[in-house]
Amino acid sequence: MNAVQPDERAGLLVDVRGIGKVYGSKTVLDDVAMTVYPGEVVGLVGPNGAGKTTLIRILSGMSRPTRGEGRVLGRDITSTTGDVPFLGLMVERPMFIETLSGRRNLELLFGIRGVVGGATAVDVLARVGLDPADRKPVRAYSLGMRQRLSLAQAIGELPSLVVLDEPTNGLDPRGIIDMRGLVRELADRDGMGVLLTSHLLGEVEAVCDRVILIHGGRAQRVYSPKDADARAVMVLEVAAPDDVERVAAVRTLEVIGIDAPLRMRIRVKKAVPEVVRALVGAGVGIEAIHRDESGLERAYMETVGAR
Amino acid sequence: MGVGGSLRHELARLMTRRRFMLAGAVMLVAGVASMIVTRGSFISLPDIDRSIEYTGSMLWLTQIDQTGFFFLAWPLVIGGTLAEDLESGLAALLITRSGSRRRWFGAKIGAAYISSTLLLLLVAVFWLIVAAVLAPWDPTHAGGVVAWGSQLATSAPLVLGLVVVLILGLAAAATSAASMLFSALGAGRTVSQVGATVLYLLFMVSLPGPVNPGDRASMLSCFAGWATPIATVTYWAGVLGLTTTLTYALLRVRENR
Repeated sequence: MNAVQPDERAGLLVDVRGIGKVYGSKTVLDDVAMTVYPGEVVGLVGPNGAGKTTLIRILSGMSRPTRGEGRVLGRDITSTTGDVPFLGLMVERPMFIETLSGRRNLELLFGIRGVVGGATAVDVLARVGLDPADRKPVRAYSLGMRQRLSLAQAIGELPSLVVLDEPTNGLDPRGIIDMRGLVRELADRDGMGVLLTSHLLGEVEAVCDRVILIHGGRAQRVYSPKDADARAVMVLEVAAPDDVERVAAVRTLEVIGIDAPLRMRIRVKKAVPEVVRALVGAGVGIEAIHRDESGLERAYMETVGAR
Repeated sequence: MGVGGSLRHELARLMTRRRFMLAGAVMLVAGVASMIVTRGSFISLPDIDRSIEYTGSMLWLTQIDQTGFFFLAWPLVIGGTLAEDLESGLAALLITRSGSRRRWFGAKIGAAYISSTLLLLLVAVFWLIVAAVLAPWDPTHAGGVVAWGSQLATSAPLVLGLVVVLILGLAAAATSAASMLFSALGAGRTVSQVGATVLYLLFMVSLPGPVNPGDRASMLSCFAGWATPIATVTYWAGVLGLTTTLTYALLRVRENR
């Protein structure tokens, strides 16, 4: 999937190839390859039943692949012996000791490894937007608060690799924005590798460096929102029907789709200010021009929707 | 990464359950009521030697012995955590932290034993105080109700009580391990808990004395030749060992599925 040179592989957090998983006669995963580098956010996107959860189970050491090879945090994923590596996991249905506070839950969970102290629980609760002084039992938490607590337990011990399964599930808009910022912070500031799954394609596109589109157990495509190719696609809204023809005549861009009578998608061939100058020079009435944030959605529909 | 942290987590999980506290409260109240009734029934029987049956040590030991039948309730009180772990994905969180499945599972079994033993010890101490208030404490009289460890009953009833509690904790761990076996077979939390209780009930009505869990749980009042202390410890340790080995093997099979 990625053109990774052998000397680069040493720093890989996840490096698996040809992963297959068969349950009885049903093939759930087939020839999946993926990598995750430190400081990188990788999205795993696909419809329900695509094989995402199975892949996460394999990567986290909870299940062994039927075929394939590779390493996660240096551990051979086919190994039947040895310790399971520590990675931060945020599962879809977070479960805690209901009668205890969020802070006490974290202290107990962090106590299993014994690497960080109680102060970490306080710090990480604040980082995810929960009040460390809140003594309320977890059973009184809203779904959003549980999600934040679940994220706190996943990142509190500063693992090299964090796997977030539907992290925005149950969050309000503010929570989703916070989560987006936090995930980027984990990668950019803390240098963690982050693997996340979500059905919110806009969020995935906004936060991920790469997105693996998985369908029918196969990794069908890798979409890179930050690739020059993806970033060159803009949405242009014009003032009048005549402007559409004028746009088509401008050489510094290519019209790649018309979404509405006065709105089109263009691929810019030069820097945006230069393209704007060319449009104005051609007499185009520009109502709006902005980067297209729905590239992943189109990639998804092309990959999954067509099948 | 040690077992200590995993054990602490599991213990906190079990011992903060409302049903755990409820079980303790029921045992306390039912035990006191039972001792009052037991004392009353002895008083009302004219042919019983009052000087023996009145002793607080006998009331106390008899009550602890009766607690043995509580083993059927343990899967409901402390069982079900394995099913919860497997259903919710919590297993992954705990295993990756403890570093291995063995440590994670070992902590579950350890917590089942420690939590049930601690609860039994707590109620035993409470009953001890109540028994001493209800009747004179005279350990030199064991009476005819203690067959198992009768020498200890007349010399050191507290030691005998402690031994019985430790073994009943083993029985509790064995029965709750049966609920884990159900979970490893794929049953949900409720089925795992109720299934283990039903299974042991079936064993109680179908198996002969030496291997009957009900007879093994009522150790002090069992007069059969096979009801020796060593045999009882071996029995419950064997049941626990067999159940946990099977459960762990099934968990490893699930991993490959």
